[in-house]
Amino acid sequence: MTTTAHRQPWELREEGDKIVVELRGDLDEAGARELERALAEQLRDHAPGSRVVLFDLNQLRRCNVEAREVLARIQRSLGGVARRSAWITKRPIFRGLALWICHHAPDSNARSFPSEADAERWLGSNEAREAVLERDASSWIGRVRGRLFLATEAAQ
Amino acid sequence: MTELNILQRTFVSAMRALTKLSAGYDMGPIQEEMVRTHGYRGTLRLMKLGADITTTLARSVGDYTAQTLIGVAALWNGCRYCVIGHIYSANLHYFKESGRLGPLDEDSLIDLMYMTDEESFAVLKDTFAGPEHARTWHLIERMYQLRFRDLDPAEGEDELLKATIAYWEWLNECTIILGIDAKPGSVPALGYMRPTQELVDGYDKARRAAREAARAAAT
Repeated sequence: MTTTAHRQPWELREEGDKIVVELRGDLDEAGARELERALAEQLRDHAPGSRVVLFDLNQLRRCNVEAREVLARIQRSLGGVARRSAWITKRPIFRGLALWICHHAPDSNARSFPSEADAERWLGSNEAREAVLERDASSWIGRVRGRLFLATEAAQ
Repeated sequence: MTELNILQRTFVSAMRALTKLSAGYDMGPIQEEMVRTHGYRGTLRLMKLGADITTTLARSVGDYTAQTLIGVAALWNGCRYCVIGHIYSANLHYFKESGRLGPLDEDSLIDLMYMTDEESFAVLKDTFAGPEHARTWHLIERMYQLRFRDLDPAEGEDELLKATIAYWEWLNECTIILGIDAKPGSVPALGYMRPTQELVDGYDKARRAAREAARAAAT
């Protein structure tokens, strides 16, 4: 099923167990509130945890402060009903927006990505965002430390 | 938002004082957010690894390039606070070392963030063209491949670049509370720059003159 709100910069559709939310153009508070209502309606008939949600921001151009507060509220409400969420966009400004939303909600099962492939991998996994970020950072810094240690040993 | 208890507030005050002492600036509410998100141990670990990676990167590629790479990594995450603060720091290092302006004006950064990754990559390529910036550009280009093209680390600094990307993704989880709205002019020189007032004034004057000259040339 596809839901498009006329004059509103978003579209909702279901693809299997995934609900895709596409945001386009300029998103203001009224548009975000309409989306909030439509998404709640879409999720109402599904069992909690049976769906994942993918927010596609690739066609978004502006999002005002009021709209981003509503998006954070949407993300917060998804924490109780959707299994996992991902936000995709090739524009860093909106990856920052998505990061703020996921952090502010707060929802550890939500994360922003530059590509749909990365987002799909995330939607199919079950680790908390903070745990993944910490593990990746620690692992790479550990490898660098190890290499530097070996280089120092070799020089002595 | 969860309120911190008295022990947590005391810990945050100590961390802020320590940062002011070691780095020369106050991170405002960011360390409070770190404690809220990661707890005491997580915050200490985050700060310690941040110091390690910044120092290691600076020793490997120099202060100017290190701060530029950190700024670009933060740009890709969408954190305005970190991209502005680290590029400002890179520019101050460059100005101090060469007496010239760095190629990336802090005022251009928000526009760059509104572009797609490919568009901003093309702008960065033009910005860092020329032999003077060849080493810095090579590392930015490698970092782009590692971040967006799933390139496996294969040469010299690749693992260090991966560590930089991964660390700033983790750090930006908390800095985004300021990074969502930060503007040039409102963020200190991040890292361990500790610029003198004379350096800041000299750089600001030169940058303003360059912007005015660019505006005059465009009209």
